[in-house]
This record gives sequence, C-alpha cells and structure tokens, in this order.
Amino acid sequence: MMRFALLLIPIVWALLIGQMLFPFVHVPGARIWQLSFLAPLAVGTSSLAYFVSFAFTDFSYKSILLVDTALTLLIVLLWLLTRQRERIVSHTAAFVLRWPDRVAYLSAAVVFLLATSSTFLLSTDNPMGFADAYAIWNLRALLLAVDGPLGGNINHLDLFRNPWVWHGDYPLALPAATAHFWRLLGFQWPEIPASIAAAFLYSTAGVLFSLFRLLGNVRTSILASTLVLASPLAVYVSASQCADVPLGFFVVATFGCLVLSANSALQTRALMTSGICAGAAAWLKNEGSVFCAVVAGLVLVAFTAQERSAVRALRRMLPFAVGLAPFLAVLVYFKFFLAPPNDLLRYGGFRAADFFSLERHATVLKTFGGTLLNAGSFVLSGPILWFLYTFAHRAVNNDVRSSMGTVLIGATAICVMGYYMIFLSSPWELNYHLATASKRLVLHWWPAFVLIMGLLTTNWITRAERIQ
Amino acid sequence: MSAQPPTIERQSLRAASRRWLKNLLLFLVLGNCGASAAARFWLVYQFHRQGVANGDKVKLAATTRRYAAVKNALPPYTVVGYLTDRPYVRYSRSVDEDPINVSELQDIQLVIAPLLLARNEDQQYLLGDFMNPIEGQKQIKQRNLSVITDYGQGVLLLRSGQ
Repeated sequence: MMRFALLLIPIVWALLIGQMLFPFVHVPGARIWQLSFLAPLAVGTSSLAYFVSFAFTDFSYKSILLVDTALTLLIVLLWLLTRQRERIVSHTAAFVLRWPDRVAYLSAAVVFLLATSSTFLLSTDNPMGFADAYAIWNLRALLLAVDGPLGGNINHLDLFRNPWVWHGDYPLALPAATAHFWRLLGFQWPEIPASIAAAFLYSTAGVLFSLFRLLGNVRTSILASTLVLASPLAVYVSASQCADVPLGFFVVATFGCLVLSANSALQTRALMTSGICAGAAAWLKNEGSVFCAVVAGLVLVAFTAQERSAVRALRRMLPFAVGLAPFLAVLVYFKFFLAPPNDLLRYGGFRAADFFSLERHATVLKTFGGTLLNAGSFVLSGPILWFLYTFAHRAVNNDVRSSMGTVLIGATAICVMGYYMIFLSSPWELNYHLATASKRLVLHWWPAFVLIMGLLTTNWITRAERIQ
Repeated sequence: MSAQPPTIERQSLRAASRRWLKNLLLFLVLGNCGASAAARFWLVYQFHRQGVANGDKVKLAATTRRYAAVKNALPPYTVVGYLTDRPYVRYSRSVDEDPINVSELQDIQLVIAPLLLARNEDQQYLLGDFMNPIEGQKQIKQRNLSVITDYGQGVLLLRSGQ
C-alpha cells in the first residue's frame, strides 16, 4: 500500500507545475484544461527524473528516491516563489445552451462511454499493448526497470548501443516514465502503461474541449473533443500503448498554448507551456524532435516579423526556451552519449535517386492521400466532414491568417511534408514501411487538424484576449 | 442599373436555409462520430468474446507461462541466443515473409526482459525452444552445448561448450 502511495510523487509534481503554469480559476474550461495536463506533466517530469537517475547515479532504489526528493523540493520551492497573487478571473458572459448543443452534449457522452468501453476491453485483453508498444516501448521500460546497482562488468549505460536493443536511438519519455512508476511500485504492474496510454487519449480530447471552452465556443469544444474520442484508429492505437497518441497530445497542446499566448496576461506562461510540450514531444519520439525544431523556428520567425528585431524576438522566445530546456538537455545527452545512430541512417541512409523516382512518388502520394482523407478511420471521411462543418460555421474575421495561425498551419504542413520525404527515401521496402507506419503517423496530426479547423469557427485572438 | 437589395423575406429565408445547412453538418459530424465509435466497440467486443471462447483471453499469458522463469536465470542485459526446431524467420524488411514468427519472437523477448534475445545461435548463452525433444537433443549434441536449466515444455537454458 505504501508503495502505491509513492505513485503520488509524480502526480504532486504535475499538480504543482500545473498550478504554476495555469493560474486561471473560475474561467469556464480552466479546470479541464489543468486536468488535461496532469498525466502528461507527470509522465514528462517522472521520465526526466528517472533518466537522471539512470545516467548519473548508481541506479539503485535509494538513488532514485534521492533524485525524486530533490526534484520535489525544487518544484515546491518554485511553487512557493511563483505562487500567483492575482488570479486570473473570467469576464466571459454565461452561455445559453441551444437544443443542437444539448444534442451534441448527449452524443459526446455516448461516444465517451463507447470509447471508454473499447479502451477498457482492449487494455484488459492486451495488458502490455501490442505492435510497437511491446516490441519497443514497453520492452524498453522493462529493460530500464531493473533493480540496480547492477555491479560486475555490466555497464547499464551501454544498453542502448547493444545491437539487440531495437531502435536504440528512440527517445525515452514513455519507457522511462513507465519504468519509474514500476520502480516506485516495486513490481511491473501492466496497468501502468495501459493507464498512461488511456490518460493521453482523454488528455488530448480534454485539451481540445477546454481550449475551445476557454475561447467561449461551446459547440466546437464538444465536437472537437468528440472527434478525437470517436476516432476508431485513435482508440485502437491508444490502447496499443504506442507513442503516437501521446505525440498527438503534445503537438495539439503546443498549438493550444500558442493560441492562448495571444492573451497578454497568460503570454509568458502559455509560451513556457508550449516550450514544455514541444520539448516533451522531442523526448517522446524522433518525429517529435522534427516537430519541436520546426515549431521553435516558426515561432522565432513570427516574433521577428512582429518585433522587427531579432534581439527583441529572442527575448520574447525566452519563456519557450525555458520550457524546452530540460527536455532538450536530456535528449542531447541521450542522443550524443548513449544512443546509436538513427536506424534510417544505419540501414542505408537516404538515396538521392529515390527523390526523383516517379514510381515512389506515386506510391507514397496514393497511400498518403488515402490515409489523410481517411484520417482517424471513421465510417465516413472525418476530415472532409469536419472541414465542411468548420467552413460552414466559419467566423467573420477569424484569426487563422494571423502570425500565430500561420505558425500552426506552417508547422503542420512542414512536418507532414517531412513525413512524405522520409517515406520517399525510406531504406525499408516502401510498401511495408507505408503499410506499417502511415496510418499511425497521421494520428500525430489528427488532433492538430481538428484544432486548426476548429479555430476557423472563432475569433480566437479576440476571445483569448478576453480571458483576463 | 443598381442591384435590388434583398427583401426581408428573402433574407430570412437565406438565414433559415443557412441555419438548416449548419445543423445538418453538425448532425452529420455527430452521427459519423457515434457510428464510428459504435463500430469500433462492436469489433473490439467481438474480438474479446472470441478470445474468451478460445481460452486465450489475455495476450502473452501462454508465452509468459512458458518462458517467464528464464528471465531471472542470468544477469540483466545478458544477450541470449535462440535455438529452436520451430521454423522462424529473422527480422525482415519485407512484407513477403511471415510476420507471425517475428511476432512470436517479440513476445518471447518481452517476457524474458531484462535479458536480450538475439535472433541467432552464436551467443555464449542460448534459449532452447523445442517442440520435439529428440530433435532438441540432436541439436544440443551437434553444437556441443550444455544444459544449464531445463524449464520443461521444451524450454532450456543452454551454454555454449566453447
């Protein structure tokens, strides 16, 4: 029982960090916004703490508790120092629910129940997930969850360079967090990775719901969150415990925080949170590193264009960089000192001829087109229906063409193009690579697509400024 | 000639049809979500029932029963080779090869972690996995291996004689 109580440590970290980052209260949607970040923040911080124990201590249980205690003290100290004196209070007018909204709420509740039942059944039948989850993510968690100190001639730091560890260069956010929870518990409880996976699915829906609720758009908030929970592919991949749904969360949370940064009172904290989310994405998956670099670059360009001075732009970027820094530091250490070269480079690298092969372009385009149009694997095309809905409900003078809107659309377009180029030059057999990866990869961008299209329906800069 | 401004009736008709279209799209999105979630649930439920009927409700349960004892036999991160009389394929980049066998090896790796499973027979320690005991003994003799532990059901921990 005592060991179960130790699981509260990362949750307390997440609660305190959440309170520091999101000080608003009494704003409709604020509580759900805070709650949506609870599990991801707990996973992010506990993976960082565990990696520090792995890389810089003898990896014994005592060392892990020591690092956890030090981090707890640091977070409590920061919380005491930054405790918000003036709390942000809403001036948003009360919203009257019309009958279509009531129907939407009812449908969302039914979808929520169905998604929860599917997730529960899939998780109980496959306690350690399936596909990449047990071949890569949970396997690495098991490898990281060994009791130290190992002693003898075993150097645990050589683990990832061992050729029999698949994809040794993949970052460690999920495995390290899972292993941390297991070490705190004292046994490898399969419900831990299953709970983390489910938490990310609901957090993604929660972020979309609460963001649009914060922006005062109730109907879009219901639909956007429902579109995530109702997606058969999202539910399936989430229960498989692969890292794709968590990456989708960090992408959409980064974007959501950038949207909230339009509010002058929230700007610093929102930018810091978007830095944390972008950093966590990089620490989660290699695709997340690409996303992190693209979004950081685009935000810098947007700030430079607004400020007309690189120095002032860099100063505005500071909160983003502060949020990013811890994740970037461990990622750089892992990649340069512990991990082997990336698989794609190891297995033949990029061949220039592949970029000019019309046959490969046609194959990738065909699969990509089909996958994008059928993103989420709905009965009818989810993206097309959502596009039509948001276009019909588009707000007059919506702010999608603003500089931050351009950042969101630009980052999505560049990253999707990046995926296209990776497939084009894949050293693996192309059809095999596309068949095993393309559907899952679209899930990284499905919540972001729902968010960007949903923003069409609201004057979000004006609405975000109103949260004060 | 200047264009006539739309009459109030025409304006209200246009607003009503726009509202009707918006509600139609709202219910299309919601209906699509509901149908998709229900279809997924039905599929998951069918698989679950099928699993219960076949007696293999929880994935990995059989593999865990067969191989779990091996995991504590050697220090963590020891590389263990794999010797078997079962047909299996090495990890492949092609879709043409049978993926089921690769998946079985992944299951074994997950169960014996933190030992590392090498998909060859050139290691100091080997996991013997035999369906046919006579064939197993033949392979062990041929390769000059010694048995460290016999876990039953054809699962053996072996050491290379060299």
